[in-house]
Amino acid sequence: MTLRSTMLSSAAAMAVLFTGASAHAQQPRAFEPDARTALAGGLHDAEQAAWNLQLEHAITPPPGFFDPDALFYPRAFREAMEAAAAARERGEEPPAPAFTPLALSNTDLAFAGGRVIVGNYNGFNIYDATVDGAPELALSVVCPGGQGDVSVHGDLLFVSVEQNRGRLDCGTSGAEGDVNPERFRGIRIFDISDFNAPRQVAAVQTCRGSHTHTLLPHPSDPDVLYIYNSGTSFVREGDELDICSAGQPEENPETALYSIDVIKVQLSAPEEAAIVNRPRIFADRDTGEVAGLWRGGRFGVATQRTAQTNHCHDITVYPELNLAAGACSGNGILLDISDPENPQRLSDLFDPDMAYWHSATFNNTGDVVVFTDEWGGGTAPRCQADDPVTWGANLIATVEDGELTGQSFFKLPTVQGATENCVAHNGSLIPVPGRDIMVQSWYQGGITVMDFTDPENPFEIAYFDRGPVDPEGLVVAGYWSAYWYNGRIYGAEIARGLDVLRLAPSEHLSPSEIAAAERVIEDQVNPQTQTRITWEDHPDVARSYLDQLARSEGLDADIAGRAREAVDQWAQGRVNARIMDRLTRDIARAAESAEGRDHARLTALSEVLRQARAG
Amino acid sequence: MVRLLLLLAGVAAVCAPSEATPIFQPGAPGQPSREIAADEAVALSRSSFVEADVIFMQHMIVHHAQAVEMVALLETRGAHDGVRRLGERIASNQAAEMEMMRTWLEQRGQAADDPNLSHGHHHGAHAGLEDHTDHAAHHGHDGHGARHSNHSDHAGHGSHPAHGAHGGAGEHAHHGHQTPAPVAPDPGDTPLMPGMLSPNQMAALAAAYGSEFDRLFLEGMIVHHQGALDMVDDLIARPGSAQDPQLSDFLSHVVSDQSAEILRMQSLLSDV
Repeated sequence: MTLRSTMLSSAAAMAVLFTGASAHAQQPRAFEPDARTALAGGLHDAEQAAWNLQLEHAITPPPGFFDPDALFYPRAFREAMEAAAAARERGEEPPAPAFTPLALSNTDLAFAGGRVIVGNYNGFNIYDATVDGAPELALSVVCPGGQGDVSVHGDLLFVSVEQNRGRLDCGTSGAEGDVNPERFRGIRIFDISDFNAPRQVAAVQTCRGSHTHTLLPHPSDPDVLYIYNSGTSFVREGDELDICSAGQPEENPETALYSIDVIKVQLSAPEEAAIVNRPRIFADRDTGEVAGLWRGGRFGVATQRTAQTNHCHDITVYPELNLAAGACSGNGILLDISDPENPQRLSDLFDPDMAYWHSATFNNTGDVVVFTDEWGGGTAPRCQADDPVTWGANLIATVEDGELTGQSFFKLPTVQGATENCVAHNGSLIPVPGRDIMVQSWYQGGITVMDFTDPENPFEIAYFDRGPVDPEGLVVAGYWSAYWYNGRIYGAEIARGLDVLRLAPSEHLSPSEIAAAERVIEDQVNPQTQTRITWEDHPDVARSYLDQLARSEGLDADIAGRAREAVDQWAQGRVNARIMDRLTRDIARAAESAEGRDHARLTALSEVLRQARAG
Repeated sequence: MVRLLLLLAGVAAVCAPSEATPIFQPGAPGQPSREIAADEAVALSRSSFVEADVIFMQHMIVHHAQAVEMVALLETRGAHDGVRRLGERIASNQAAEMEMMRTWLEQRGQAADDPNLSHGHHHGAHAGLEDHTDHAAHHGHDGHGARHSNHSDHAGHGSHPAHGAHGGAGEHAHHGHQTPAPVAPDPGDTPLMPGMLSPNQMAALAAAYGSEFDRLFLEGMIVHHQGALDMVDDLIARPGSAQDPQLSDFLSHVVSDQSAEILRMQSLLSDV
């Protein structure tokens, strides 16, 4: 429960949200079907629906990362099962099905040097996206362990491993049972400087493995990189890793629950990477009680080991703001990370509609956080007509003076079928100046682009979706992650591979806004490590603001017309100093009487024009 | 609003992967990598499951079914909106997980029911599942199909010896008094498995109304959820268990979801 803020009970929490009016009052009771709802299914030949998005490339899984006997050929699998059943009826011993669902699932993405790194339960693949045409496979690495959440920093690639089958040597055999020194659950570090000889250089064992992790560069020492590790799985045996023990803090103050791992990596000696702290970020800030996000101990039903919110699923850091947003099972939290080894909780949020706080994304200014709710864990079809529109959705929260406040929900605004696993999942910002826009994956619900510039009224501005992998039965598939990188959206499809999509202009997104976003080029992008987006002073950026001010009617038509003319001239390399000076002054004056986002847009526009004038 | 809609039948842009890129399998930290063939890469992705995994799934289906039954009672007897909403969510989650577990068992040629589990006093295990897709294709399980036979010893597991870990949870009477086990226990006081409510507790729940029902429901469901966490602990302590990726994922979700729901129920208890 929320426990440190004003909400003392779920009833109070609901009251606060209800009186906030936005979170529930404006939600429809149910979504209407649309063009995405009844698409024909298939693995690589499913019907598609696209709105304001264009699929440029669909890259099927490479050799070694596709198993025709596995999940993704459900028909073939069903036939094999039927054959086995028939054999049994004849009194014969049926052959064992060679079948491991999820074993070759594509998962999360990271980006560096124009390359796309695609995590996989069985390893990772790296594609070169700098070539003309479709990205080309540049490296395949097999190292099983799931789920394969990836991050990149320079020549180092970091991979999360949580499964019991993980092995130090990237194999899968010879380490069974309860305690085994060969078992690996934690974060692997690979050196990928040479694509002809990738090497594992370190493997940092953790108590609960690694479900996701987040890179946090040291604020001043470029040779130090921190990793915030989120383990969601069970605590391993102390005989396997001596720092580990389970249980509730009142019986076992050393319990591995109720913490995250802070790992320190010296980039000059990555093989020495080690856990340096396991901070108690859920502790009560007044009493220090480790299980601080729980206040229910007086009801007499608690057994000696009552479970509580005791892990984060994912953490997103924004180092320039010294902030992190944690999606931590039963709560969303905000952390002060100015001392990276000792993050301090500033605020926590609870909401009765949120089943499992799963991931977090800041807007560029850091005063809004989009939290996702992975209701049902991602393997269930939770976007059907009778599913509540506020469950398995995004919760959009504002940040004011270090306090999180829930404002609204956004869920895939359509109906999906019973064989499409669907719930809110990973996404990242699209760098359109003057607006908050996020692209996001919804498993087999496809990809949406959401405008949350007004955190109380988020809405959809683009989508892409395919029919189910298998219309007959639910096959776990769809987009694990959809992220923006250097002008394109990359979607990691669990079963189908890697997709590349491009924004198409519409009433919701002008050609200038798309062009301004596509001009933002970054070398290294790990979506859970947010850096402030900046735009060069360019006519497309000025036009983006003008397009937005036209939509909001936030600028006098005469000034807007003069501004467009001046920007067109600037684009042709002609800047009239006198015209530009007057315009800059007029727009700055308009900014003084404007409020909210229009104030920010007018201020930014006047600054862009001033820079154009200065040449 | 006018929506520009592009409907593409088939795929215009599927690209075949390059044949030339080698596949590397790294060694342990500090060791060199080796090149492997695609079929070996696929073989490494495959994993096995053991008897204990199957029994865990079979029992968790039964365990989840009781939560669905409890929520069915809530719909006609409860008073508190927050409890009702949470109940709906729990039932929805548990029904979906039951579906997933049945599929998991079916896909591995295993029966959805543990033949060693007594169904004598377990009524309504499948309540609320009339809308189930057809899972009738269960064939009598031969005890071997597709299993690793290196671990066939689960003697006693089918009959559930009381594990120390269940002390408290399993025999927790939710009227606040603990009855020590008498010499000849009333079968009505014996839950089908630890972490489930006994028939007598279910009867007490079914007899309650309003805020009294809400309180009993929350207390019972907390015990019930705690039982699921104990079952997970019990499974991972067994040799070779929890290697199957889908099962491993499922365990993580059970732990996180049930923990979050317990947290929520603890807080709701202060409201009813």
